[in-house]
Amino acid sequence: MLNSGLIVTVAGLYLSGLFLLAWYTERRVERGAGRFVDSSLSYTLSLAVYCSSWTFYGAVGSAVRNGLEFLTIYIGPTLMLMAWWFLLRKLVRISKTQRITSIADFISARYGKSAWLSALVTLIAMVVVMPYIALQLKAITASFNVLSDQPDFPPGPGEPHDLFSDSGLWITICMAAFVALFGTRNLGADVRHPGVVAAIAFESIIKLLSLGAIAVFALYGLNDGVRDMFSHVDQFPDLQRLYVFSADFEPRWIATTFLAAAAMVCLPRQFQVAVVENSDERHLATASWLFPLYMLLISLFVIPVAVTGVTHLPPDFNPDLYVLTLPLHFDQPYLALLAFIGGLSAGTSMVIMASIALSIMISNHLVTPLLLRLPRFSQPGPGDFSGMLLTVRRLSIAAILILGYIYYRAITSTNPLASIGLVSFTGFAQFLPALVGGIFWRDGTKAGATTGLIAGFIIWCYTLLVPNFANAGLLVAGIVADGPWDIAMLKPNALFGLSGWDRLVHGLFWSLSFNILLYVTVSLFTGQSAMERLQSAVFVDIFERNTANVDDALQRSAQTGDLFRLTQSVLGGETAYRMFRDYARRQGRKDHLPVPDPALIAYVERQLASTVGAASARTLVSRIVTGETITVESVIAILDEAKEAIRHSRELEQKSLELEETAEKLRHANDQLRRLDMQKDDFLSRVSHELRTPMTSIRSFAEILVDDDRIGSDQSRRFLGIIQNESQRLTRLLDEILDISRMESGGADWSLVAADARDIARQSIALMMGQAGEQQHRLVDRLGEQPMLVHVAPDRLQQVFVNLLSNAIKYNTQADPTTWIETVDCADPAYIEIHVRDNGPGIPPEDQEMLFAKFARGWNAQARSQEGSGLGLAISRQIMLQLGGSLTLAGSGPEGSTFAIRLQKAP
Amino acid sequence: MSPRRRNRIFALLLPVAGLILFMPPYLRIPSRAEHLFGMPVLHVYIFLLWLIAVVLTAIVSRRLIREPGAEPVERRKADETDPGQP
Repeated sequence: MLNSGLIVTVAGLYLSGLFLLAWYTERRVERGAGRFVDSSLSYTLSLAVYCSSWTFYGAVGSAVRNGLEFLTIYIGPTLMLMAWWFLLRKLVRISKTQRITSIADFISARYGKSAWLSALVTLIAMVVVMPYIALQLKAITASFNVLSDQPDFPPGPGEPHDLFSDSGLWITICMAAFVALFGTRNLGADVRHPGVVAAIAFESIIKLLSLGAIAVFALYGLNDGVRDMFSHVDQFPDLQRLYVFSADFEPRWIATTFLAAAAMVCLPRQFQVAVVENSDERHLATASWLFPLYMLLISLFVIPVAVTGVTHLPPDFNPDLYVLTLPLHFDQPYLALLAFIGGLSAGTSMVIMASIALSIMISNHLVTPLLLRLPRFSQPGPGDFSGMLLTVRRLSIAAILILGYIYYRAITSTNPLASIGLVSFTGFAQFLPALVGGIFWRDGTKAGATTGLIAGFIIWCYTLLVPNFANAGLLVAGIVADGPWDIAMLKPNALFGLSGWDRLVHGLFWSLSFNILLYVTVSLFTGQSAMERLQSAVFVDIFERNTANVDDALQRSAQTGDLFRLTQSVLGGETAYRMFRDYARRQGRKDHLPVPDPALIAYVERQLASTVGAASARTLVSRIVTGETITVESVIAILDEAKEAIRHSRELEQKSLELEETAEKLRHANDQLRRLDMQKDDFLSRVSHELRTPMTSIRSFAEILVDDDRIGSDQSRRFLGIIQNESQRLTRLLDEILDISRMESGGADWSLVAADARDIARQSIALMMGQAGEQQHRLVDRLGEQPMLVHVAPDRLQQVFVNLLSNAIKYNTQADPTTWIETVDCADPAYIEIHVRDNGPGIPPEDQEMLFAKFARGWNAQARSQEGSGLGLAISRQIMLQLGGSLTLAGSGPEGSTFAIRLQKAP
Repeated sequence: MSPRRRNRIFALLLPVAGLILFMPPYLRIPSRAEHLFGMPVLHVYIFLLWLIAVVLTAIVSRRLIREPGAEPVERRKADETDPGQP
């Protein structure tokens, strides 16, 4: 047991720390340095405001009483987040473009910006949240009392039933003051509260760590690990519930999973953090797995605490408080204090967020519409609204907490935490048909949504609230036992004779089924106003449309002065001035008021909506504009056209992309063809040139022999010799051309045999010995001792070697001309490699490219006068290709050139 | 099938599969009084499944976000200047 003064001090310090964090964050954001709040991590942690005192304390209680059912509370949201792409993302996108401020705003905006609908949703939310807030107060108060060993509520006989000695009251007052200070510091045109989000995110971390610490304590402090903990099941048959499912767990399992999933969007505070406070859609992607992970950890921590509580604590201890009593009972008061802080975090984060969300809803949808009807506000002056709204919000926070306290005193004493929470969940689930139907079904009408909501709410009240009231003695108990006015068919727990059902499932079933049925049926039979149709088109087709600002197209007109005065009254003078000045600047009218085109009117309406909600903004604006409703029909027509146009343009874009790709490919192919064509022309011209040269010699000498009578026999013999040589040369050339063209077209059909490449090389060396000797050219044999078996046509390979050696001899102008023929280790083990290396002057880089081309032999001026067709290397290369190998220039420089011959090894 | 379409299908498949596998009929199967690694079989089933769901969702979500031409995030549009706090 701890000194209550100590507890209060620690709690006070903690809450002050939170407040500082929020304040500091707001300051940073104002200066534009608020990146850390804008992260997907803080977004995900803010979603964890879902885990309130119900989770922190009540989950253990539920685990002990009802077994594994508590898991559904965390599995439901997991599934909902996993499906983020389809539901949450759409909600976020719509809310951004419509500047939605709350769930009531969303629903009202969807159904034609209806003020009545938003008021209805707000009222329902106020009633439904009461039990939930009561739950937090109960948990925090009980934990405080246990920790400081004070008498718990309800007071036993003989104890003072004094209002002011109930610590619950003081806690409520503190929370009200805290939240009022926290969440309503100013009104801006921005719908978000980064300071609050930062504080909430921080509290989520504390919650997790705190619960984790207790779980670790239970697992390893009081037990010897997992096995030990689970080994006590025989002594405690009650624990069976946590190991296996009981006989008829199915209906409640399904019902609670559904409720928890729906809660992720239908709870006002969840809608606020998940949709309204979202700053970047991509954060949803991170939250989609990180939040389920958080849920998993929390569930995991609950189990050891529950099991250890049952096995180690006296049986009359309240399971809802095991998280506290476990460390307390085993002399760990400071661990218990940590748990208390964790529970405080869980409770305060829920209360903060819920009351802020509700206060926004109350001020925007209940108070403002009423105020607008007062004559005082038909011509609002500057700053009128903003000051008023702030007061209204603070008052509504106080009102919410007072209502919650009243509920707590009156009702909750007998019920476990979890069942209170589930009643609340069921109430909020009534929003689901209107919400989800609204974003997927264009024909959902305002009338349908309204009827469904009212019916669902009434049935919820009747089946779930009334029995609670009756049991607490506030209503005639006979209603539950015999039905109102003794009509058995209308018994709250067995409507229409459906008896024997679990109370929660029963209430959920009837309320939601009536809700959905009426929503669909009434929608089918009612029409939509023009505004409704417009809004439903915007909402349902949000991903297909590019135009976010549909209202810009509404042909409205207004006086700039009126618009300015209106903005002044709601947002304050300075803000209004800045807004209009910037807008005018963008319009190009630097020192004047902006032109009141429809875009400006729509802009003003949007800015106002961020503060007072869509419905009220519309009301305010519609007072000073003219010419609106007539043209909504045409806007819808334009919208539908726009949708078609966008679809077409997207298709066109794709087609043009494909066309471009094809064109690119065609261009590439064209270039290649042209190059090949040029090569061919080149070849043909070269061939004809090469053929012409000897032909010319033959012709000229033949002509001389024929024409000139005075030629002597010596000269004529010489001339004839020349003619003979040239003819032979011509024939050789033609043979080579034929050869190479046959090889290129694949017509060469050689018989391949296995042979040792070295033998062939050596034969070539022997053949060239004579020519080498004439030039004092050394041929060095470095072929080694290893045999190199290959599959070749031996004479062809010899042709290649001879060609290489002949070139080497011909073109080496150095002092000590040498050519080495050496074997080289080939990188690829399936091949052999032989290098023919000389120490000649090398081949200039600009000639290297065309080295193996036909008739390219212009790199050595000396070479021109030599014999040879210029086809030698081309033929050699082709031969090597035919043999399944290659001939390449391995390197060339001033120290010499190296040709590399590669051949596949014979297997 | 384009990767885009495949991502969409997985995005739908994961929550639906999760829903089905966490429903009573499937849950009945491991619901027995036996232990695995010192924990009840049921716990192992549920938490393992949960963890797998987390991992798979992380993968799919990352792919969805990385798509070229994914819808651009609307930060501040051209005419939406923030007038700031009064």
